[in-house]
Amino acid sequence: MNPLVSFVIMFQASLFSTGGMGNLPMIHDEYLPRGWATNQTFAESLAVGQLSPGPNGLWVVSLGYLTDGLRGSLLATLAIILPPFVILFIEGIYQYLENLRAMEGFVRGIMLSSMGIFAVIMVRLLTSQSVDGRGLVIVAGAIVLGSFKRMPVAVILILGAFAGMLLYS
Amino acid sequence: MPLETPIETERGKIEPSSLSLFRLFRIWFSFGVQSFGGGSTTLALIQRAAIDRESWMTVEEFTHYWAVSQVAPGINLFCLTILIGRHIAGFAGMVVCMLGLIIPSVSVTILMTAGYAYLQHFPVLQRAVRGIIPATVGLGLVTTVRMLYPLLKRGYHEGVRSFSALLLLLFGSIVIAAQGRAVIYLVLVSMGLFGGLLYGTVVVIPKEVKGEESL
Repeated sequence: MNPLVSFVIMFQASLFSTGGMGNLPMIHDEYLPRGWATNQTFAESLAVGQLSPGPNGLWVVSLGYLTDGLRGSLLATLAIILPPFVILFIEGIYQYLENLRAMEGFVRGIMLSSMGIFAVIMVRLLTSQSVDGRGLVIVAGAIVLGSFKRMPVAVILILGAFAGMLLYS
Repeated sequence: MPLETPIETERGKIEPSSLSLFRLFRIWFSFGVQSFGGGSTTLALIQRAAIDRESWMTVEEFTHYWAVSQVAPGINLFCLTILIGRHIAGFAGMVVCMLGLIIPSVSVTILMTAGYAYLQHFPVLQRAVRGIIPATVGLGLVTTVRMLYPLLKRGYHEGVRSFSALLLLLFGSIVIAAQGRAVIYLVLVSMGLFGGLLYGTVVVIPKEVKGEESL
């Protein structure tokens, strides 16, 4: 794998998306065809990103490590630190942009499509492990538990781990 | 290093001497260390400190910063940290707050991934991962719905046209993405332009609804 190309992919994806996971579809789209990561790798990175402290967007750091070791994780860190600085520019023109109808529509279009694409990819990640009934039971359980706002994400993931150990033994 | 200018807050001025960059770093480092459980925990920690404990800013300022953070590129919490850091101590504040937040959480993430990569061949762990992956997918779907809900609700109150436009943009993207052959960048940009076109021409957002901002 080429560390520079990988950095550019992560940087670009973060620059053209918002939120910690908005960059997932674009990175997924570039990594998979190159054979740098599998759906399984993506799912693992997302899980570590949610279990570790800090924003969930650090899943990219985990992906960097799994695909390119320490160098990969450090480059990934840089790639997700830089794009947020664009906010210094956006904050200055926010009041103006907020009142532009077409701009509001543009932001909404991008937000909705990134969430729609995200949902499609989440479902696709399941196919990485030839999903069976047991997997679907765990998905359903996580959705139910996740609907309670007070339920910590870590608890749900750990319950998922135990369910996996029991169901697949 | 002491700060040069005092900070205005609703409880009066914070004297520069009482707020060194080192102390600022320590505070944000503690956010980074404590924020197990994802972004909402971190946001709550920052909010409590910024408004109540340290009185860096008013609730309105914080709400404004958070609103802008959500439309800016990249991780929302990083955007928020940059704005708050600049608010407290200019460029130096930005850098110090970001480093404080990032150093602990990134190191732990790297260590956890390294630990996982080292142990991943144990059968027990492989079975655990087979359970964690569907759980992550379930959580991801819940997060998506939770992020969509406020926007869809707002569109619903804005009238039939706005709500239909939102549904069209959402399901259009899902259908295109599900084909599996679309280039993601193109889908995003064209949906953005399509949204701009819709809201610039046929869809009108009533003024009174548009003014609502929620944290």
